[in-house]
Amino acid sequence: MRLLRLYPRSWRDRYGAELQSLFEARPPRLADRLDLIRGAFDAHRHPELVADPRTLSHRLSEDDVVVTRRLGVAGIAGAAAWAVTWFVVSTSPLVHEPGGSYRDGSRALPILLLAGVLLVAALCGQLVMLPRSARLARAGAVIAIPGILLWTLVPWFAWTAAAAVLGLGLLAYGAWFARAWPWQASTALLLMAAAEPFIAYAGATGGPVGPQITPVLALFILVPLVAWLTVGGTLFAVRSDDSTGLA
Amino acid sequence: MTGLNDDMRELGRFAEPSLYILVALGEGPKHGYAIMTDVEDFTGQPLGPGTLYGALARLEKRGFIEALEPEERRRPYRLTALGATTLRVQLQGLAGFARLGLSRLGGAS
Repeated sequence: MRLLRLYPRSWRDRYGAELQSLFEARPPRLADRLDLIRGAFDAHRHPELVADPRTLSHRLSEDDVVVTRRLGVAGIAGAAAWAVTWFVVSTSPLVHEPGGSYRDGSRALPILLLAGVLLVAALCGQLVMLPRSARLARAGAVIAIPGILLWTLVPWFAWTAAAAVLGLGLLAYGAWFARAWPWQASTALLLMAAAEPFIAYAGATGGPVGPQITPVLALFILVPLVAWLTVGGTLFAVRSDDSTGLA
Repeated sequence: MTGLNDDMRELGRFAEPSLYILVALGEGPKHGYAIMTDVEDFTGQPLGPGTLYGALARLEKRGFIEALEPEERRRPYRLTALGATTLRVQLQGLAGFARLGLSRLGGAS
């Protein structure tokens, strides 16, 4: 029965033989085939319904919980580092040039790097925590990690930020789709990923960047805080009865 | 379906099929095909295989039913004590709703 291939492997392993047996007893009609397609979509939406020891059900030990929550704290601390980065930039010396004046924020780069490393630590925690079935979310984290590291090293290359934002957006959507995160966390991170490119574009096309904190710059600083707080917060909320992507 | 309590309502579109499955298993263990034909007999409506196994997975996850050892490729399911209690509560709720409706109908005629 080809339609069974639409179902996740764990689902086929658990119910495939029973369904085949059922179809031998009563060959599926058109309505049954449509119902199977709808059921396959539901099975992908709810991988937790079929506990697969290779992919999902692995209770966290107390040590796992401690490590995971520490990575969550690292993510939340990254939010503070990001805020400090911009405080340092805003108090940096003014540089006057013929085209206008700006603040030399180069001394904030190490703090920006620290903020990026802390977010990457939390993303590594997500890779451990997310179930194997949450492939899209895991792919998003894998894309975001190098994107964030490169962006904190060379923030003037916009494509690094684009990769980071794309990865975080995929992580948020994939974690929601796999029901690994509460919808509020996924929505917050998705909104961040959707809004930040527009905010950056508005800032880049709004004329030369001056020394003052404009509303657009304030949004550019405040909105990404969601990334650190969400990625870190969802790890910090882990309990010992949660399952993990480790198998 | 009005009259269902939260245990079933939280199953969303699987609430009604789940109730039918619990009723089908009320008389003893059955495998998927037997559940499907029994439900079709007493509701007059076919139960699709995707819906059947979506509901079975939810009921098993909640501990209302349990899978027995497979007989060839057919795996029978049976009600657990929790499932029997839940079914009884659901049916009593529906019976109360039916009594209410019938008494109002009687008063109107």
